[in-house]
Amino acid sequence: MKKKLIIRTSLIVLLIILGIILFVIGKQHKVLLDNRDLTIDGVTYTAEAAYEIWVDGEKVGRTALNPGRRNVAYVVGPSHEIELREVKNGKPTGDSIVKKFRLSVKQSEVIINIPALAAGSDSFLYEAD
Amino acid sequence: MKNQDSLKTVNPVKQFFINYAVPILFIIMIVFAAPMSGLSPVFLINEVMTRLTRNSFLILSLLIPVLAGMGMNFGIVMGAMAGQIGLILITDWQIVGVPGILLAMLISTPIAIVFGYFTGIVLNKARGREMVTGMMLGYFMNGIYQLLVLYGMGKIIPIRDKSILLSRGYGIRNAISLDGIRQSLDNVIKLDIMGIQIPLVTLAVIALNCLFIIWFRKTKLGQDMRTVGQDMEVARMAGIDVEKTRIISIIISTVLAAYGMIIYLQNIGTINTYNSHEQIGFFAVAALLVGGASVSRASILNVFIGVVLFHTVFIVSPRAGKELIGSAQLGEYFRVFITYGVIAFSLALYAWRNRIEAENERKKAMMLRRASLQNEAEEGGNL
Repeated sequence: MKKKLIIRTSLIVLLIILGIILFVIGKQHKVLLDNRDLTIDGVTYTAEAAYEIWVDGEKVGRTALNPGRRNVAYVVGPSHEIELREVKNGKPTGDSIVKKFRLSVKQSEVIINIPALAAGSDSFLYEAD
Repeated sequence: MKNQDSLKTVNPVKQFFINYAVPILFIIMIVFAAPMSGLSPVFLINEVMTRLTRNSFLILSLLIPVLAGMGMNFGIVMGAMAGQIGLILITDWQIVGVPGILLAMLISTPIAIVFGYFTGIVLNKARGREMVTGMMLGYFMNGIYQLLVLYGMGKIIPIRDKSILLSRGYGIRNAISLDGIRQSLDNVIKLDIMGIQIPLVTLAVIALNCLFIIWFRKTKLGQDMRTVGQDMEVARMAGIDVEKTRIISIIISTVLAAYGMIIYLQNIGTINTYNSHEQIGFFAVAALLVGGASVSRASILNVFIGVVLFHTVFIVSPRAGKELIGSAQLGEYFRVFITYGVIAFSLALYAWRNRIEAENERKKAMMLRRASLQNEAEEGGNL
């Protein structure tokens, strides 16, 4: 009887853990990509260049994201990677910037500021209001 | 000898036609309607494949109660409701893809177990009238489900996603888009053979369910269910807890129906919150009956034959109606007529067959009695 109870309780605990894992790996996040000016802790990052953007290997938008514009990407799970490449006169120039970022299950909608990311700031990601 | 010959009252050819009257009727309809519809074979096969992967799991959930002698479980509607509750919650939590489908199944499992347990208890009280009771229970639980979804969600159960809530702030909208999980299972591995799309993973899940049913029938519990299905009194004398066995069969059926509904809706990509589950019981039962099953006998083969025949008629009938009479709407009426007609016809056929069998049994017993009396009289004369 006791053995039966232990097995049943373990099974329920296992299913709850499985549920939590599925929740974390299946959670979809909305990522807004802002190529706009941003001031963080007194430092202003100005949007001057257009960028081609890839999130988790998928290109965001058909064309480059121009200064002052915003685009959106949907990502699933906690760990992600964003890649930027500056575009001048319609052609990609320079090296691409690659940055990894993590999202918690509470962060349903976040904003990534492209000028801050390109400048190497760690505060490029913040929650949308 | 003369007596023995007279016992063979049933012609095997006639018996075959009686047993398979519904599938034969459907095959005849398809033979006439398919060419008339003008649909290409590739399109038709693609459509049948889609419906096969969409519906099979749900219909397979009907098999275990038949094994336990409880007839067609119209209570699968409650499993469908449990599946929908799981889908509504994952939509609100924005859990997408295959993890979303699995999480919806996980959430729906305890709900379906509770629904199944409740249904099993009620059906035990209504022994012999399980089908009509199951149907009525479905309607009753539909009210509870509507209360929960229309008033409970957003008020008692927190719903954060405003897009699925009614404008008043509580209650779920009439239609919810399942963009996050739309065909997620179907698209994991999809083969394209000569233009025919084959969703391998969904088929594998259906195959797993078939294997589970085959394995389950061989287990001690499965054998107990078979015994209960054949004769409850004999089963009780053999020490089987009849009531518990029947409840377990309904619980398994309800849980499988919840999973089936999730697979069904992920393929469609939209939940009709207040209607999707309503007709599920009728359509699943009708498809199984079309496959040659009866209230007391149903196999995995019946499920697949049923889905193919029933849905082929569904696909070709509107076009055939349009070609024949100039109105596709007639084909739509035809669908509904067919669904309910098939159930009524099969049930009537089943009752008629039972009566004939009982009559034959009675005749057989009387003839045997007469023969034994005759023998006794002859033996008495010889002495």
